[in-house]
Amino acid sequence: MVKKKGFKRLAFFISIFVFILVIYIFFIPNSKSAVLTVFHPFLKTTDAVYETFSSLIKSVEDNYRLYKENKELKKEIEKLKGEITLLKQYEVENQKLSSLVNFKKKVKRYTLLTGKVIGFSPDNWSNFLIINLGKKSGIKKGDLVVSDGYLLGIVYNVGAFSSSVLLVSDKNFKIPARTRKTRELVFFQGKDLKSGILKYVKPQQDIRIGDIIETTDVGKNYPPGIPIGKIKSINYEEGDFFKSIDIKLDINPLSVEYVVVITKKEKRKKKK
Amino acid sequence: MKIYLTAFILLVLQSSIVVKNLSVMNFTPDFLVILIILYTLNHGLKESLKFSIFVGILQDMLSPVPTAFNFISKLLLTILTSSVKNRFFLGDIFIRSILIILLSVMDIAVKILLTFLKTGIFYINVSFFAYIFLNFLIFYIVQILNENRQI
Repeated sequence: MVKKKGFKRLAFFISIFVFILVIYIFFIPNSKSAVLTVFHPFLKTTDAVYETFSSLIKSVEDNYRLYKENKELKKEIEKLKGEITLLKQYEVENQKLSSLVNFKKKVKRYTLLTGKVIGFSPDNWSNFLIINLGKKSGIKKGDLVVSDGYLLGIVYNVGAFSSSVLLVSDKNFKIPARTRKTRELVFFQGKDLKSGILKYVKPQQDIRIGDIIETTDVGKNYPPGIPIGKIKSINYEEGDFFKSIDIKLDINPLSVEYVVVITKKEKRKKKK
Repeated sequence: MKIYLTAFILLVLQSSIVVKNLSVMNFTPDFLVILIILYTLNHGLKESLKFSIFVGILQDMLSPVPTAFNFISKLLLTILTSSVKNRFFLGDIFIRSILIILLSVMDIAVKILLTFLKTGIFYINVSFFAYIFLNFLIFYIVQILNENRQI
């Protein structure tokens, strides 16, 4: 009798567990932007309180005016670094295209938005940031996020006032990329904070140690030419289908204060 | 209700101040794991399961990628803590703190396995020890502070 009761309880718990798991995996992912909106005021307040206390402590050591000016300049530097990264790519593109006579140049316009990091991943197994830019600021899912001139991540969920950015170091981060020198198309996947990997690289592809991996507009409409990392090591054994390639990443998400979001300008509707 | 609010506040703090200031080798202690273990040690299985499901879902909802890592690992953590509690005598603070080492190892193992199944990357790092040590240290401090109090 006791055994039967125990079995019934166990069956009840298992069925509840399976039910929650199914709902959780298939239905909840769509409502994550709502969760971001709920969390936004709490994270923003915590960040504001933390910022206030830390600035109070810092103002004892330094001049407060200089501290504020420095913060503004940092913001400006991040924006300029993002602009330089884009301009470098345009320079390369321009040099190549100028040699072609009958070529219609595609001009892609991007807007750069500066955002502040207000939250981090609460566990050690996912790498993401929460920034204070959302739908109201005009950013969209899939926009690239740059910090210190390098690709930091991709906007994954957009709330009304905040968004979560999946970092390049996250194992779920995957993006088509290109090698800067040899222009080979590759597929980048994050691994940890210091490294990533290139997947599906064929033995005949020209991949060199030290070459920079950058974003490409092939396949998806990402702004091209944003550096992701450097090729650290290449391993290939006779008979393997693909080369095993490690990428060195230079990001420290905990030290990032401001980020630049590269968002595509929406086309204006033509008036009839 | 109080414990659910505590968990929410801890999650907000863990996502902001804790990560910035308490990271060792880019690993931060999981205050929510510690809270769940403390709660399970002092309450019944049914109540603890409800609480761990709430915490797991809340933590997973914040992650941009559709995942159920925290939900599964925290549920297993509660079941394991509850069974250990019923089988062994955990009167001494040090023995209770040793328990968190075992549970943190299990937490890591579950997450490594789930990460491998989802992304195909089998990832083991030395800095996992930092996570275990930080969890042990914080659990030990909390145990000393709360020696005669029930959560």
